[in-house]
Amino acid sequence: MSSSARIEAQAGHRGAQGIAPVVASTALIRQRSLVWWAWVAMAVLLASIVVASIALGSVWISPSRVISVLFSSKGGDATARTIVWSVRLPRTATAILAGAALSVSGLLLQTLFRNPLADSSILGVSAGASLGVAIVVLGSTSSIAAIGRYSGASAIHVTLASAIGSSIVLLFVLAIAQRVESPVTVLVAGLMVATIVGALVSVLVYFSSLDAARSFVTWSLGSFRGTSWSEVTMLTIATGIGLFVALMLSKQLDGLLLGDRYAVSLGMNLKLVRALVILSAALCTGATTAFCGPIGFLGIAVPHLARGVVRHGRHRVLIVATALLGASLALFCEIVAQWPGDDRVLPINAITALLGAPVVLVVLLRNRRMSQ
Amino acid sequence: MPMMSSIASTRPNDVAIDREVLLEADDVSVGYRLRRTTTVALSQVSFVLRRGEVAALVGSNGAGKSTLLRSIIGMQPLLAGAVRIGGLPLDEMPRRDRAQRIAVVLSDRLEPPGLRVEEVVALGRHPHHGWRIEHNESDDEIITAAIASAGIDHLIGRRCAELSDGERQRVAIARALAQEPEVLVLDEPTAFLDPKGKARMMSLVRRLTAGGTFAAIIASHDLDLVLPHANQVWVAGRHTLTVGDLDDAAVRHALADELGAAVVESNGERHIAISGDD
Repeated sequence: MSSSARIEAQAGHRGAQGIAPVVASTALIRQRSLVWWAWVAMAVLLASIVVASIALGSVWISPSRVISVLFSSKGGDATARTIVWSVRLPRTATAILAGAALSVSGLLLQTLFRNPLADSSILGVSAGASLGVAIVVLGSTSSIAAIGRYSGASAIHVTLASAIGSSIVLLFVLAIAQRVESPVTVLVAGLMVATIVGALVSVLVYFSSLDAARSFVTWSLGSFRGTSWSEVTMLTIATGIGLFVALMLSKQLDGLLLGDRYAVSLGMNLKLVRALVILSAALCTGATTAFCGPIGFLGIAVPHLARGVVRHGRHRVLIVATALLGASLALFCEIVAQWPGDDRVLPINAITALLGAPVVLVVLLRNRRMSQ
Repeated sequence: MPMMSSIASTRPNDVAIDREVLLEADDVSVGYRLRRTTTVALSQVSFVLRRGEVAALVGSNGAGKSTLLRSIIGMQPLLAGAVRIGGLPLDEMPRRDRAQRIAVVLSDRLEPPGLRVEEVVALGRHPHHGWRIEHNESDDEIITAAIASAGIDHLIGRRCAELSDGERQRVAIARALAQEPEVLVLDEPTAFLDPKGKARMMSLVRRLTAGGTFAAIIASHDLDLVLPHANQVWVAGRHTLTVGDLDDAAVRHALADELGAAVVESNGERHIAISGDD
């Protein structure tokens, strides 16, 4: 291109700036908040997995019967009603809540630490929750027979202990992250904290009664099964608060994406925002861990899947998408774990790891900053 | 309408003395207070910065440049004295008001996962709204104008993380412009850029400031890049700040003492020569 032609092209470009780009860029910003087909797809996906999860099991209940049991007061036979209402529905609700909560908590941690591989299991937050649970359950002399079968009052205690354990570890790892630059160092430090906390839990298990120890070990394998409706209620309240706080923070989380110094320059109260992010993540991780055991990989993998699906980085969109996809994926893992027609149940963590670990590998290989 | 970047103008614009004072420091001390020990980085710092002026803040590492900038943008309390922005004392100003008046461009890499260029620029509107509202329709014009002023219209729709370092810093400038600041603080904005990127960045800052509604402070190690074109030169060193322009004897002394830098004139252009001798 000759220099005069280039100048002309530039002049034309500049001249057009007055009006045309106003329309163009405005439309671009608005357009992206309306990826409606992605929302429809995610909602349909979740709904069909919910129906599948209620239909499938040791006894097959056809989807039409499932729907009649769910939506009419007299629908379905008594056996089907019992199976659906006392076994499969609590299990489904637990998986949905746990999946949404763990995934959103992973998203929050990835933003808070500005680290694409941050997650409650890697940073030791789940381990902190486990320690909280272990202290309440193994340390108490009362007759809590088996973990995962909490009575009403102890469900609150366990949830609180678990959330407190999560937030203490989170604060500690965040303090480490303030001192080190490298995101990989922070991850390794988090793993070490997780190991230390895990060792403390082992010591507690060693000194507890055989029954308590056995049920603790079973709990620590992770499962969405066997929750009662009162536990589901508790889980709903705790994760509901956590998710609500996360949604309320979506603007501040966007600011955090630029880094702490930019966030402060936007007038953000960094300490307050961090504290609220920690509260939200700790409630989500803590409550889920209390009732389902420590469950890995959903927190890392789902936010990346959500970014891929909605092609969006703003949190007000990403949080909802992450919750929807997390719920679907957790439920899918639960269905796979109890492979239809087979009585054996695979540990849920094996399935989440099989699905989640490859996502982590892809992120590692793709991300320049991490692989350097 | 902003002109395309030109290397032609070699002398700083003569800024009329009656332009509005935007930033003012009176006998300020900056430094750190850690428990009972106080470390003073710079003391007796005074300056007056007017609309349209660019101040170049230079000094060797550890001389207190960053401390001064952090204090000016309110991220760390002053030890003594007062900084006023638009006549109002900075340390009494609520965070959001401050953020409506001061915007920053840092050397930090701007790599928000998934965010697109126009979304990053839109973040500049955050301090102008409350806790939940990110931006509204009346902000669109400001955002678009900021994108146009920084010359990054062609980057609209791209993800920030896939841009080059130079492009990313232009996005950072657009984001700061969208904040509609009175003072633009740039802390080593050219640190990661190649020579051409540095030159483009600097001429962009100069052009925007001269035609804009704000004043700029630019801290940099690239002396030859920032000094010849700045209206004011601030040299940090020996626990104080020497303020003046490139013709001042005091400034030239401070440059020579602190940085081994000398002003050289050739063909009517000024350059900075740096000696490695002690």
